Amino acid sequence: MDDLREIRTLLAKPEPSPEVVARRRQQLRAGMGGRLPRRRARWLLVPVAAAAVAAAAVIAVGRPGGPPPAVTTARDVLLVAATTAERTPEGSGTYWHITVTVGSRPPSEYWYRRDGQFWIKGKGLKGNGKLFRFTTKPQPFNVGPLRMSFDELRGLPADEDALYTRLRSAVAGSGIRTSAGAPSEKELDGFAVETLISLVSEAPVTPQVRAAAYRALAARPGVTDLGESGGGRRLRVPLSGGDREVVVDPDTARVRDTPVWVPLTGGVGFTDGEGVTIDAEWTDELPAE
Amino acid sequence: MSTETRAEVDDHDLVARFRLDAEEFTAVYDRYFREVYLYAAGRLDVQDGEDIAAETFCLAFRDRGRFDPARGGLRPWLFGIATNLIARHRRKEARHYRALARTGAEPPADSHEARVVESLAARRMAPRLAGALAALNRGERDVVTLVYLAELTHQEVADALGVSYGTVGSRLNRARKKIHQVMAKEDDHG
Repeated sequence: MDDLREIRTLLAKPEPSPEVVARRRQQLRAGMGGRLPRRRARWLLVPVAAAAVAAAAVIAVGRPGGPPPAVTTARDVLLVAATTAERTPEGSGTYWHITVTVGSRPPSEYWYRRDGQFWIKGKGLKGNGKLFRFTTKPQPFNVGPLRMSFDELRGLPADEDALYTRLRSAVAGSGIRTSAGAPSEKELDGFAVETLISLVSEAPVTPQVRAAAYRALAARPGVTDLGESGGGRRLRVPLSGGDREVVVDPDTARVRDTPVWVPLTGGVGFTDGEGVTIDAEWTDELPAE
Repeated sequence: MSTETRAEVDDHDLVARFRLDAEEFTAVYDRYFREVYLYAAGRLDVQDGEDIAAETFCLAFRDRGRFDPARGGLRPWLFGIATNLIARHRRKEARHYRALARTGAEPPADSHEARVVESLAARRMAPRLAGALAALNRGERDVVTLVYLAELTHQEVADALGVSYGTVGSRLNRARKKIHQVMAKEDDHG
């Protein structure tokens, strides 16, 4: 008998958690960023340190000598966005169709079915401009660091306090780890804010839940208004990796021309140049392969 | 997250893809992270295992231009990198085995580990086996864990470590002898 086979039993460890796999994948992608052609580099996550520098630079620039800033608070902006979100009819269809546009370049498109299977189409994506079926297995949606089924997403509370409480405790119970170990309370708050940004960026939630996500954001300490931008209002929001700028268009209740968003494919999206605009709607049509 | 293609696209295709488009390298991660993680975590602990597995893929990405399919597949290449990283933690690894020798299999960290302690025989043998692993030298330990923990073939181990096929066999024999000696000694002493 080959008793050395017991080594496998002796040294067996639990499978890596999905959070570990996603986080380390994100780390790999971040490391790839600097070495890829610029066309792609914009799309990749930049290392946290670099992003922090970029965010700090944005904040520091300000408008010396310009007109005094209008008396607008982040809270006002977000509450208007909430009202807009609530009034925007959701529509219906088989596929949740997300269009991600960077600057003036051709968009990348995603079609998610309710079971989490999805198709992608876009230059520089898998399939190289042709429709590509990404997953053929049912799987949950990424909502910031959380993974949720369609039914779970649709079952989120439409009351902003209940929504935040639910997300914050899900984040705390998800066993996320950062490179420094177990996340601090402040980092957990940041992850919870990422889930809120996800709900207003790409997630297929009801208009009521989207509105609640805006209201919950409005209630978070540390969310501040940085002024007007081409796409809407620039807001500084405390994410797990530090403060980041997210641009929200209160007139459409969408993130628009934003340097930071939270995509359904997982992680936090950053760009280092032109902003990203997200549109999403239900449709029954999938383009031909 | 190209989970569906994992089984269908073979390594050859993966390599061709990341040569054309570096971003495709994430498919290599998707296919092999889990295996490398379980290998490194098995030799050290989950925390170091996670760090080493992550670093393995970052290094592999950096050195992807040097990957030569003629010298073996992706799997041995990645396990070779991970094994080199583990070598930095040699003392910790030996401590881990000695701790296992004292306590037997580690207390189950969660339900997944319930299956770890499967048979009574294994449970009795585990502490002695762990003690014997601590007695191996680096080369022997690499071969033994690559064969029995990571379940690489002898050829893959040879490719991973950059040694000949014959060397894998002889190291394995030496290791087996040592292990049996250590275990027999413990039997004598009770």
